[in-house]
Amino acid sequence: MEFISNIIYGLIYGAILGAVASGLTLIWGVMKVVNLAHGHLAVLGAFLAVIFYKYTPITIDPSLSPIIAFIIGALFGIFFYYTSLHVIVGKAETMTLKVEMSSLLSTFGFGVALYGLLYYGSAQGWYLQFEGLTGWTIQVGGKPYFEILGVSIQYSWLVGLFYAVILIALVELFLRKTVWGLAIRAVAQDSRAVALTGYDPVKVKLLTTVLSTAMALSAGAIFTLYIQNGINPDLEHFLAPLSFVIVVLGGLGSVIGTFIGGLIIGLAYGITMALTGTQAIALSVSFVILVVILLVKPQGLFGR
Amino acid sequence: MTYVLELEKLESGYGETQVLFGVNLKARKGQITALLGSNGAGKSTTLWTIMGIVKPWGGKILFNGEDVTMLPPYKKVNIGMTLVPEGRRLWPQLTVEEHLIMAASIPRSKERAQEILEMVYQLFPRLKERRNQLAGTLSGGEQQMLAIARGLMLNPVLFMLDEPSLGLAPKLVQEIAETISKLRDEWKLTVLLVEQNIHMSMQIADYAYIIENGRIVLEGTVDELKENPMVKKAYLGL
Repeated sequence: MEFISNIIYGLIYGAILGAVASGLTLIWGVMKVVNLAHGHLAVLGAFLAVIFYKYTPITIDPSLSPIIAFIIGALFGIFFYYTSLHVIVGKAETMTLKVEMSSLLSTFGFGVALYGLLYYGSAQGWYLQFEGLTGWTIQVGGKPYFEILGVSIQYSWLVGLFYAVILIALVELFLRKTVWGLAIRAVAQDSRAVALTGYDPVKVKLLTTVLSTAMALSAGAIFTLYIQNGINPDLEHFLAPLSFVIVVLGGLGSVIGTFIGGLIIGLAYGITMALTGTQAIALSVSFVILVVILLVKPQGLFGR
Repeated sequence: MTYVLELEKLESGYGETQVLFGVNLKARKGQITALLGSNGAGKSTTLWTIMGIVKPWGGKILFNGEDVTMLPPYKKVNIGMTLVPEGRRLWPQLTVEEHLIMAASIPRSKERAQEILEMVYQLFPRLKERRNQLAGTLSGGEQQMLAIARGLMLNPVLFMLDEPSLGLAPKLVQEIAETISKLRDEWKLTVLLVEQNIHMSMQIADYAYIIENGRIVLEGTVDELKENPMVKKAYLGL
């Protein structure tokens, strides 16, 4: 029974990791900006969730924080674009490897700055955690969890799962069903042709960055619904590599692939936990899975 | 005679290098105007400058009598100026239909989108057959069709083509030439055709300019130019 519990926890966890990676799918998989700040942006979202709950005059329930983090993330995305990306990608006609590498460096710089800021904040005594705040969890009938077939599941995890699925469905719809989604895909392939087709390429790139940043922050807030304590800047060291693994695993630019990739990694965590009783080597296991899948299918599960 | 496009002493270039030295050119409404010249004469630069992708250094660009010299490219598209660029510049990872949808979704063509789409598919039945295929997998001729189709979906008034015959087999060049004639005769578009292929252009154009080293050196109706001794010698090989 414990094994089954671990599998189910792993799947919920995986869906949430997929949500964390979905913003990266958009900016890296589709627009070809290697956004090394992605993990830091997610951590910022997690911080915001705690700040809203703990440090604002009006307490905002964490179950609403993904929405607020999304809005703040969108504004922050404008700042992120004009400080780190505009000079590099704004005028780029096609996202060549050279442009990709430059974007890697500039977003790395932005990420380090953000990390420093969050770290400074933590050192100042706002080491942020939900510890001792068990009261916030969503309770139904006086209990924070429910049991089904002997597996107990927290309500807050369900809320997190709900948001994760919504977020991923949102990007998929945006990319497949809207013209702006088409424009984003086109702009990475030939941005001059996008201008000749009546769209402002800079606007398209800005929009992509804004959306991706909003998703990163929102996913960070969703993540707090799952882990609930120990939110600190170093979370990035875990979220960023996993996001990259998930995006590559699913296939660059495939949103559904990202979701499935997330579930696979979540399962790896669940099974590792069930077999070894600790998650210590789960990150390594994730990379082994990545290598194996890339050997069999170099373009990723859903890549074309 | 009304002019859809008028260039007055247009100058531009790249970095420190000046390419155009005061180009004067007019595109006559409902006609095909050809801009001819050899490699490096400034033909493509003229088109890039008209569209605003290359910023003009001096001179004026008038579209339907209005000064549009400094408008950014995407705004020019939205008032009816369309360029089918050299080398097609398609998006290889997008399908044929996605190319057309994207073009048809700009404010200018939204309302007429369905109507134009049907006309485009009628003009190029082959594209309809291949509408779900990625552009990168099309043959050269089909890619040129798609590039023209994408331009047509923008609901243009002025249709500019940069070397549409480049890299195509003679039979396909003939097909493209017929298509361009149709755009004038049936679609009632004003066409500005830039070409190295003088024979093909002379066959369909009404009026032509010859550009050398960034300057217009000769202009006239096609019939006049065909009789011009310099054109005969340098371009027609007679």
